[in-house]
Amino acid sequence: MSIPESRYWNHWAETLNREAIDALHFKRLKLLLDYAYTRSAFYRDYWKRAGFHPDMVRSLEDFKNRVPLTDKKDFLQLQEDFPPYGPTVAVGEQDIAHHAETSGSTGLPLRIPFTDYDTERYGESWIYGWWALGIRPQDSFYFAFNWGNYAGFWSAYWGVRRFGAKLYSGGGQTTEQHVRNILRLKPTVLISTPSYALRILEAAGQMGVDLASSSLRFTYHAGEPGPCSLSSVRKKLDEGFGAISGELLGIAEVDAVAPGCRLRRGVHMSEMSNFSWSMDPVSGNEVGDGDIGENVLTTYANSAQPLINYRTHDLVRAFNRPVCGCGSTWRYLDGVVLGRSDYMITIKGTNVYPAAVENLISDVPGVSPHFQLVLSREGAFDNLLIRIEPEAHWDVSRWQGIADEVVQRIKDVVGVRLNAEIVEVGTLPRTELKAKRIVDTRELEFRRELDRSGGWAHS
Amino acid sequence: MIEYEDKPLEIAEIYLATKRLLERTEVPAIHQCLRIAVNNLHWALWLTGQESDFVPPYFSTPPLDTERGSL
Repeated sequence: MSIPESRYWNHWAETLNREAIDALHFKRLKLLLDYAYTRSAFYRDYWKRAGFHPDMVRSLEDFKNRVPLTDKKDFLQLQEDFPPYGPTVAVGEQDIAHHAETSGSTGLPLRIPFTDYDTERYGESWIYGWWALGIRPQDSFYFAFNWGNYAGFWSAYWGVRRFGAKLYSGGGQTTEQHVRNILRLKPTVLISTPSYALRILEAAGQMGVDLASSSLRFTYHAGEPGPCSLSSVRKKLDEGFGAISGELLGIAEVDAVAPGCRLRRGVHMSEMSNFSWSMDPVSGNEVGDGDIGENVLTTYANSAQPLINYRTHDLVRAFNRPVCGCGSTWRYLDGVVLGRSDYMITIKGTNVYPAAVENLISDVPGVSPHFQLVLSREGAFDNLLIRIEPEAHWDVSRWQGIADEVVQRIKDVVGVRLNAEIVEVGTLPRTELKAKRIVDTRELEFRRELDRSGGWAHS
Repeated sequence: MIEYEDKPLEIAEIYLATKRLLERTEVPAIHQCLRIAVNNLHWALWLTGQESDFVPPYFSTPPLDTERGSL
């Protein structure tokens, strides 16, 4: 029996109105709070010390305001003190079916236990994004990555198994072998990080292969800002593969949290497997729809190591009532992740997140993919200068207009007037992804952690 | 809705029946078949908003006699 055709993977769930979704969340959060309190020594102790008890939550507002926040560093410390997982787990050892880890690029790797049930729920989150884009179980997936202990792409595997599609694993292959495998096996969906997909295109070009005429109909990406984050990346991927590219925002220890949007200007949270809200990272207060705030997450997909009111440090412009127009009612992150709350500078008394500025600039007409944000220190103050190469076909007489538009857009959204200068075409360094566009010239003592991506690759 | 021998069965009924079978079986191979089925039926309840607990009841609890380590 084949899977029935539908516009949605789960029509009922994906089109619930906000009030119904929130009612479901409240019911589920209550179940989760009781579950964690009775099973996790960490939560029981942490909440007791904070004067919190699950019975104190009588509304969704209570949950946001009263449940103590958690952070990755808390879990890392407990795991280091009491390996392997410390008191963070909520199930016995015999029920841990899969062990994954973060890369540890910012310190120690976080150990992530999953039950067998968790892997099913985690994997399913991918499918909402695939289905919305038009991918079906008749499609075949090619995985262009090595497996390792990396939760992100293991979860893609769990998703494909659940989806019922065919899977080709490209683990342990060179980039050139991936190109040959795509030609030989004829998959219809490529799964990789966006930057590695661009490397595959580059290698194919050197081999004289045009992947735009290959069997691939879709490419799907995670781990770095991709086609739903950056129009320039979307264009390169779409044109290079002659396919439709999609993006999933994942956080290894949490879930495949936001599996995409068919209109590809942002992503929807997977509201069957997590609850999230936006918080001002300075005041701790909730921010409204459309305002930039830190995405605070609670996952339903990790019952082995529950994460409740978990700080992601990802800055998002979220809409609980989506504005994208795709039809899904699930919370929408416009532009995906705009920056990191742990990398902020203060300019003229205003908190500015360079990565958010970067995202705002990307879509200004006339701005090429080649621009730089130059951070400097002038006396006691941080400064941010924007250097822009215009699109090559824009006449010199219009360059100042581009700079003015950039400055105005930042003033409108961020609330501070920055300086922007136009430089000659071809003068700025070429990079594939925008993470290298931020140039910090300040002395080390004035810098915070530079980790703009909350995605899997950098977690 | 699913029918079995002309009788309509809701997901919740199948879940409860499968859970009871899981509790009774003494055959390891069948135990795993039923456990996977119960996981999936619980998830089906969740995806339709009908769940009454966070996870199926068979997940073990870590020792809570210490606030330090559990494993």
